[in-house]
Amino acid sequence: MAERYSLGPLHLLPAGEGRNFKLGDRKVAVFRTRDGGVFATQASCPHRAGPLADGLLGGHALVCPLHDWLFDLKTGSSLNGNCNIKTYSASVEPDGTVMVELDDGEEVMAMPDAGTMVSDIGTGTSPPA
Amino acid sequence: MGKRKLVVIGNGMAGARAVEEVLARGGADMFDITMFGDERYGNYNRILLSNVLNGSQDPAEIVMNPLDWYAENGITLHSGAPVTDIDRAAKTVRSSAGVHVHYDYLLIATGSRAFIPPVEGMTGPDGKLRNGVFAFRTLDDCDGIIAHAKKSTQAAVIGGGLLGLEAARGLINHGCAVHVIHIGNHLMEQQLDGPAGAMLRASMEAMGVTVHLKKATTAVTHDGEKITGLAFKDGTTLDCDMVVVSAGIRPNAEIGLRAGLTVERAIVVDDKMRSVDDSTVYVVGECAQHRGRVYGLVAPLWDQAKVFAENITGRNRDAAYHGSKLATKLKVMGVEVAAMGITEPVEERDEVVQFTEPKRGTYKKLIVRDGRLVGGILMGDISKAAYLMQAFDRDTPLPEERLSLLFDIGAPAEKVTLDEMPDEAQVCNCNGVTKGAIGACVAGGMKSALAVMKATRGGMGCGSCKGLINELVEFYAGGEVEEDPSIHYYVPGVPLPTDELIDAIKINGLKSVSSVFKVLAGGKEDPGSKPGLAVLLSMIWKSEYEDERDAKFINDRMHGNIQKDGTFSVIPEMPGGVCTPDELKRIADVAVKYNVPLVKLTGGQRIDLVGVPRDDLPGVWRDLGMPAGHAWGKSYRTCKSCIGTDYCRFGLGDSMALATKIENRFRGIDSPGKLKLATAGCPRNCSEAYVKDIGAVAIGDGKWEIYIGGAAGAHIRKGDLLCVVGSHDEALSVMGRFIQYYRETAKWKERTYAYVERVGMAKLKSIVVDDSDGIGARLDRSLQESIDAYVDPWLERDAPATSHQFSSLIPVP
Repeated sequence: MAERYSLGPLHLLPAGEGRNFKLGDRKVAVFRTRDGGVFATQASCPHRAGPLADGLLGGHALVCPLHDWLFDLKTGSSLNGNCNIKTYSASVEPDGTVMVELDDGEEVMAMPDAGTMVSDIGTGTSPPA
Repeated sequence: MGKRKLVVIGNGMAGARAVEEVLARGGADMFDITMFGDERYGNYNRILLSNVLNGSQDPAEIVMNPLDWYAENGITLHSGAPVTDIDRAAKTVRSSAGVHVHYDYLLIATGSRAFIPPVEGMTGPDGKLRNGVFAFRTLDDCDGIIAHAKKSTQAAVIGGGLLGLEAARGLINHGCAVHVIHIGNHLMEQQLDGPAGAMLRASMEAMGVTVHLKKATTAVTHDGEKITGLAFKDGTTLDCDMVVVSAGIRPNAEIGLRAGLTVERAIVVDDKMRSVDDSTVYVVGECAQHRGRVYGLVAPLWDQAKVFAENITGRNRDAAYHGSKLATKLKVMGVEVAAMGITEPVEERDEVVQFTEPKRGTYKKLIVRDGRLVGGILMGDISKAAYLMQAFDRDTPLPEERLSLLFDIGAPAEKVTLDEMPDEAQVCNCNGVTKGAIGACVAGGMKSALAVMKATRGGMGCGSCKGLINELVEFYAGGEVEEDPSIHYYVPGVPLPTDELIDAIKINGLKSVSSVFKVLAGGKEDPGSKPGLAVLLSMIWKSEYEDERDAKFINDRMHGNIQKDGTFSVIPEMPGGVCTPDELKRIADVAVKYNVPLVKLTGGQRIDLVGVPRDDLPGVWRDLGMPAGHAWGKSYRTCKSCIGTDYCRFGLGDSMALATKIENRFRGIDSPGKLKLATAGCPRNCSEAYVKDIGAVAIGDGKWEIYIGGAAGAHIRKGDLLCVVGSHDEALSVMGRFIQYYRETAKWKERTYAYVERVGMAKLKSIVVDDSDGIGARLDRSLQESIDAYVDPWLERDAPATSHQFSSLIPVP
């Protein structure tokens, strides 16, 4: 069952960043890209539950801050060969209000033992090859 | 404002190259360019004159800039008439043909001419070379020699240097018997030692050239019309009907003398290639004297032309020429030779590594000083030349196993060698083209060797590397290995190396990360490149930098290090690992009040409050009342210290005080990689200063050794000694200069241990300690501006930079 939430005015979302919102009993990451797009996804990375809202954006590509898993905000699909994430429908009303619509679809669950632990973007240092 | 007038005197390799470099920097829009040339032609490759002489190339083939080129680029060329006068007061030049032109900037590139020794009979009554006597310097000389050689039976070449031997080689092809007359003890003394010279002589004589050593020519004999022979100081004579003089060159510096410029051996210039007397007059090439040296090879000229162009176009007014180390690769009489540096050991500590195989004409000799190559001769087999010339040029340490310097023991197929060749290896020494540049060209779609050579100019100098370029193009285009050019960039998402990126950012006035992507990366935002650009922009613009928070990694938005559960660590500043009891109590109180799950001592001698949710960060910072410790980003991190002189019975220097000064000065200075520092009060090194990005070790008498490039993380390396200083202030000063140079030239995430090895200690010492580039004051000033612009990021506790900066979850009604 779909439910629409009003998150308030767009300017509360800093350009190029994400924030976590509590919508009903779900935690949802909402992003505003530099070209003005608004996107909503599940809040935690399926890899090791990294806070996706803290990731770096490049266009509508999102990098998880913990281990550089890469996702497309529009579709939720992985851009570096890992699993996808759940996305929600998000929009901006003509008056600038951000709207997110939740559905009953499952979020992709954390898989704590999967995947590599490399962070090349943040402060982590990749171990020597 | 209209275009400025740039007048170039000299249309040879130096003048034309300098103009090309100006055009490559958008100079066509900035200058009206007028060139004066002595010769009737466009610019040609003088190095290849010997090929014209020996018939292997047509004159047309060695032309680099045909007359069309000048027209196409809007350059006014006055050829065939040299400039006779410069009026510096009126800023005009006048040519022998009467052309009178005003200039705003003048470039003198008159090169040099053949030196004609004052020998009786050499010149006729008119003061010109006698019929049958030739210099070997220009296309016209070449024409004359060829025409005369056809009817000659016996020719003599005076001079057994490189050019003389090439002339001899050319003359043989025209059917006459050839004698080389050399005043020295062996051939090519500039480049070769005695044994190598002797082997070369044997090769030459096998080809039919007779070599006469230790012969001083005293007269050219003639019958009034024709040459009949040469007479020598030792009383002997030689019959010949033509003479080619190749006894060295002399700079064409008279024009400078007449214009009132300082002329010693040539026109004296500063590091910007300007006359020391007149900042509107530049001089490049063989007529320039830089730091006491006058160069007669082509490679230094390319560098000089670049420096000239950078300065005059304003692309980089700090560009400076520091002199060149001379290394040459050449082919004499079919014998391949590579020579660099000194030819004989000079100091007692010089070590000579040598191999001789006279039967095959192979000779290899290297002179090693303190583990560095200071001289070398390779003859016959020059397969190691590229590696050795690079080691020589960069002063890089040589492997302990000297055998591998001379031979590739058990090297398999050639492909492997190409593969293993480092990208920065210089392929074309004439034009400074690296393997990487060739790879980038092929990756950019150029699949033919010719296209690559045109684009890079590789192979367009002496041409001796054309074979290697062909192989490399084949290797890149046909092989499976495709090079990623981004390894040379500062960040992968903007296709420019650090220095060029800085220039482009300044020229375009780009103050935010998003504007850099828009202007320099075709609008494509690469998320991984954003933090690096943010650091670079803040370094360039200081307080003018437009801080777009989304460009920063989460640590730099939260001013703490993100933990696996999304919480952060809080590490307050603690210079040298010292805090007051009061501060210690406050830290404990905060840990209790906020239920901090873990209190941990860090490797950097500080106290870490681990696991603080972002919602608590402002309160924690406020209650601590201490400045941020910057333990999260690519920046100055910490300075460890031992206990120094206050209590330690071994201490030689006050390491705690120095560490405190360091932390107070460099706190929060961002950089391409982390900077972890330490100070040690004595060489026992309790604080591990030898393995830090920058370390200071007290050695007594108030002196400190400064080490850089140390590491003890995933990579372990002892730092290299940069210098010894005599006080804390000096230590801060030299550290600051190194930090700033590193900030301006390293690639993003390139830690000092990799950077120091890439750039080389010799260069770093000369820039940081000796200020060889003259940029020291600018570096110091720039760093000081960054220091002045520093603001403690933890003050955002009272004034968040973005909406909900410290909210982990925003409720919605």
